[in-house]
Amino acid sequence: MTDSIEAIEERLKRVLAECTTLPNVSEKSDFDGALVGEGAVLDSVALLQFVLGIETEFSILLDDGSLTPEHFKTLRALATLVHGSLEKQVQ
Amino acid sequence: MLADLLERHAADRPRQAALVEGDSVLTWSGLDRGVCQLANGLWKTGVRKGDPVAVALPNGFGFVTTFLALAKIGAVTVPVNPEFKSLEIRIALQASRCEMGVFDAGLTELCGSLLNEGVIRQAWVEGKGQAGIPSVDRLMTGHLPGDTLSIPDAESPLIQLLTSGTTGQSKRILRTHGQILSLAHAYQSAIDGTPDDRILAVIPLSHGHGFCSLLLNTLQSGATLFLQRSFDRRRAMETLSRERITILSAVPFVFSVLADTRMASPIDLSSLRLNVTGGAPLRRETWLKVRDRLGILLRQSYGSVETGALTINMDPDPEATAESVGRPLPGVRLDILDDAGNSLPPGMIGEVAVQSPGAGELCHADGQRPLMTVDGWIRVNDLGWLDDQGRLHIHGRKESVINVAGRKVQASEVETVLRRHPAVKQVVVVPQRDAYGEEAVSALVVVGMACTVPELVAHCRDQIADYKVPRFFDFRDSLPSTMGTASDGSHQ
Repeated sequence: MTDSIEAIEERLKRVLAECTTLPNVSEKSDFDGALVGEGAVLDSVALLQFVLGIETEFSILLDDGSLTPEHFKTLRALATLVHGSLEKQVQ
Repeated sequence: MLADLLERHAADRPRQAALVEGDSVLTWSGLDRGVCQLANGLWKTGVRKGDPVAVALPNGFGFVTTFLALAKIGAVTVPVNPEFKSLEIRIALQASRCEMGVFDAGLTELCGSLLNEGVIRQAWVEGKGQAGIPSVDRLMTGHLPGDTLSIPDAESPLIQLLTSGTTGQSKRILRTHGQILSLAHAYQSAIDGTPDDRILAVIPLSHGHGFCSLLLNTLQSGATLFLQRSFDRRRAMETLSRERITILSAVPFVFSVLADTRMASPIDLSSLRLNVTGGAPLRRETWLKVRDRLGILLRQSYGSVETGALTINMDPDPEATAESVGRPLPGVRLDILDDAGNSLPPGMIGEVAVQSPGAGELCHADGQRPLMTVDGWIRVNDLGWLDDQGRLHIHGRKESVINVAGRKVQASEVETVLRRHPAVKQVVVVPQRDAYGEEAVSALVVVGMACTVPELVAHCRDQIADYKVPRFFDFRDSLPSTMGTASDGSHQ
């Protein structure tokens, strides 16, 4: 059975914390800021590392071309995307 | 001069693909035609020999065509990173004395401001053109009337490079047609480049490593260059396999990411004959990972903004020599010097000194000066040693530069930006390895009032490109007196 979106979000936080030590990400559990784009916390190098980390953590493949800033607007949005990928794998 | 290479390939192999971007192909004759048309258009609008013209474009037909068209009429390309923020672009334009520029469509709004403020007097953008800024494509008409042009010669400046910085300390390096041609020839001859080569570009052509190993090498050898606008790891892997790529040249980070990228189906990389890293040190872990996961053996190359490529490791046994950046390119001389300027024997670490026909000249307010010192050597600010076979090994840098996946960040520039934040009392910016093993920008800060990391990040992002913004922040009560820099900029 696939993890809940909340559980995925927690796992994403751990992966993200390895890409950055920004306290707003690694320490605050209520982080809801944008990960890329305006006012975001990840540069292009950290973003690629984060995506690689997500693929390894969840054993999924994410297509760079289809990832949009919307997917990285909040951790919740990203968790929803990962949840969808995991659901597809189950089917 | 440089454009002669293009004419030669257009005559010898007119139907062979010169550039491929996605599904679009530009043959050598098509590229030659486009370059002539753009050169004509630029000439008609008043661009003349010696004029510096900013080129803020990502990889694509547009960058190559613009660079060659400017070269054809003797104008000087000033590459400006299209990822730069407004302040960085303004400073680059002013430092390079550019009054004209060709910009990425995403910079259209900024172009409007620059024109209104009189920072530049002419701008063109890629694509359709909007908000009153004309499209560069609309310049591409007619044929270049050869007899009206001042054809550049070997001494004519071709490209002007800036060593970054919003601190006012950036160096301007001017390199001529003769210097660049000599570099292109030396590189192609070292790697035995041929028209049959198929080269993949996933790093910017405007950066030192990409400029030489991808763009110049393609122009010299008449090969086919496959362009990615920005790095997409799976598309890169598919292109390597599908297009039977023979040369992949990139920064170590790119190879590391490719090795970590799982593919849905197996990828055949057997066509790759040369896999070169440059722009950043190659760590042993990365070399091993790439060998074990991709089955390819990386070779290092080495160079600097001032000189272009200097060495490449073409040793018959890349595994045994993986830690070396190789021997000098044809025409390049290397030495390792002690503090007094004496040559050191093999195995001894000292300052790397070079002589290269491809090296440029430093621009100063009162004219240009050679980079070399009175003893005839150019110091590239790296420490290294030569082994008993004459191969160079790099030991580290002398300057405080942070290498973020091949992109150089001057710590002083980031410190200057952070000091402008009202809460920051003291700051020092240092390199820090991230969990992936890459060098990242880290800021140690002492604040005088409440301030959060997102506030500092947002403050930096307004002023400097994303890759320069610190990824790690460490709030301290104080900084050791040997490290700290006061908010007024004075060292304490």
